[in-house]
Amino acid sequence: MGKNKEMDHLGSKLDELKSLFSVGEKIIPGIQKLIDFIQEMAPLLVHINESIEESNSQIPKATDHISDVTSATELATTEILDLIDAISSNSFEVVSIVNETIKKEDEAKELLKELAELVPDNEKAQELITTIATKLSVGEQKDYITGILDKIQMDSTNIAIALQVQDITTQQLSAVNHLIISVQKRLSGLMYELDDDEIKQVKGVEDVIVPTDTNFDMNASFIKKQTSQDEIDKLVNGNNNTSQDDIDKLFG
Amino acid sequence: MKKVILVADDSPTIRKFVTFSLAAKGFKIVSATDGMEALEKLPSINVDLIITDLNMPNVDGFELIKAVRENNAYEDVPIIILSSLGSEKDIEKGLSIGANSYLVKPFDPKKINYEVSKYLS
Repeated sequence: MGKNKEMDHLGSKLDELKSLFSVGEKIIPGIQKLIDFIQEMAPLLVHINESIEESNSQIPKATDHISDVTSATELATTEILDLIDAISSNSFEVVSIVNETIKKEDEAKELLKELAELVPDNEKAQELITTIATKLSVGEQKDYITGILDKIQMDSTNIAIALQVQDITTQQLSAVNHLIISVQKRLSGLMYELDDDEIKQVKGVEDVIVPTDTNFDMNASFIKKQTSQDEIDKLVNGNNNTSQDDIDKLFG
Repeated sequence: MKKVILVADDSPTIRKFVTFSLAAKGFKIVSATDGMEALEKLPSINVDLIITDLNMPNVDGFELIKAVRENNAYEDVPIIILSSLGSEKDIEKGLSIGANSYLVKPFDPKKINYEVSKYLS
């Protein structure tokens, strides 16, 4: 009885083994296809690895280029601001010269009046004095000259305001640089060496350091934010904020 | 005697522009490229007002303001924040640690002159 039970058990195990073989027969072609696929993929993976490596090696150059562009625009902007400063100072000087000239012209007109009184009967002298007086016309041009100088001052200020775009661009480029370095670190993490018996990660991931100092504003944008400034003033001062008109009245 | 304004900003363009805006009004401008340099320069100048950016390397604007306010010698020195950060959170943080005014970039020289004149008239 015991032996029969053992035989039944053996038979059942043989049936299981038979089923396993039959499943194996069905699976083997699939496994073979998988092996073929992996063999075909290996060169492709090597190629991807090489591409990643190449892209990775270009990234430091790209970030260096961006830094160079930032430095160059910074330098150019500083030079332009120096020139604007000089234009502004010169126009102030011209205003002062014009005022001084008008003062001297008024003094000259007074002297001509005195001269005319000294030679009341000399028609030719009177004619010359009148001609000279009409030539002293800077005073009449004062409004026109100061108008032009005011316009130069205003244009200079507007150029200087517009040059703040450089600072905003620098912040945006710094943000791009930060992103590129982060991508480089991720790419380095994707590179693997395909050995005969193992796949191991390529060393060097730890060499890529993503800067942690966030000395840029990723959302910096160059728009004239008068509304934003008004809103900020409301936050700072409550309802006692100063309008742009108030400022213009003081500094206009 | 000229009033002294310390300007801390890592952008040479902004330092130049602030100088351009305020020097013509008779102020003496001392520049610092970050908060650390500003803190180093403070003891050697008789500062009347500080204008600071927020995003700066080494020591940022928030840390600079905190350090200034923690020093009794500068507790009454007005501080104006000049930053491209304009969120309510940044503004409230800046004011809560001791800044007196907050200007957002890009800014008009008239506005900065106005804010400075409020404290140094």
